[in-house]
Amino acid sequence: MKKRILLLSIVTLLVACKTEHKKELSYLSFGGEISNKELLSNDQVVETYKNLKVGDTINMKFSATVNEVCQAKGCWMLLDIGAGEAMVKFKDYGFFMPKNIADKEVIVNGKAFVSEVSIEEQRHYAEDAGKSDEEIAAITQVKKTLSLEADGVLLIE
Amino acid sequence: MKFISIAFFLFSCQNSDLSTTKKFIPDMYEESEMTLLMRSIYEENSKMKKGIITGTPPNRFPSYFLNIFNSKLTNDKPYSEKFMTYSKVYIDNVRTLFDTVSSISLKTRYNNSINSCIACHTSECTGPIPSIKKLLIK
Repeated sequence: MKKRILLLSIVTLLVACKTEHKKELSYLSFGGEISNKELLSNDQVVETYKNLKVGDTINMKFSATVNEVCQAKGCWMLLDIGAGEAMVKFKDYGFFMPKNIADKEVIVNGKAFVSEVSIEEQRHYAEDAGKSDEEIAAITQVKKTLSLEADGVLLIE
Repeated sequence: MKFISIAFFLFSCQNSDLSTTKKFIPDMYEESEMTLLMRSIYEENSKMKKGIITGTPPNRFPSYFLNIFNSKLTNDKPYSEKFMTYSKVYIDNVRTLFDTVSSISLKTRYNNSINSCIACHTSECTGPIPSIKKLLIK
């Protein structure tokens, strides 16, 4: 009898403790309300940006990791989209993101476009990002960037 | 024996429930005096635009606009020379809206004032430019 109880205990223990505690993702919402559904895959995002020409815009919703955030206000962020980075700004300058979300995952919804960023503007962003004077001075060429004007962002906590 | 088994079970499974996830505290931007002022100026300009379009133009220079020369910037950043120059141009342009003998249309004078905002933001802080452009009268 004792052996049976012990055996039953061990089996119960193994089964019970193996049960996965499914983690519910929680989100912090910024800007307009958006859902976490119908996201483009990373390949689709890369492909869409590849086909965009300066002046084109297209609506996109996808998730990505935050590489960098404006350290002055949180008024822009750079997202890792595999084949490069996408510069995200927020519609009508109407909302900002927390300044401490580097390496966090976000879902963004908005208008994607490609643009050319002047040397002056790149230097301004570098300054906002807390880059050194040397790094700022090293910016000497106009850069083509992948951009997104987000109307809503979900931050995965 | 039964007691040991139950105790073992409870103890082991309790450990798996111990959550070590830290609560994320968002570090949000606290609006500077200049940001708040810019927001008020934006609102005032929206009213002016509406007034000019509907034939009820502004009749008094909003004196608080002059706080542009002494409001604190984000992180107490010092004013650049460009910022001071553009601010002066902007204030001068706003004053022209109240020039009752001007030969230039009110719409043009108003748009000139908005364009001076855009010119300044092009070199100082580009983020709000798309919103500021919406203040222009077409």
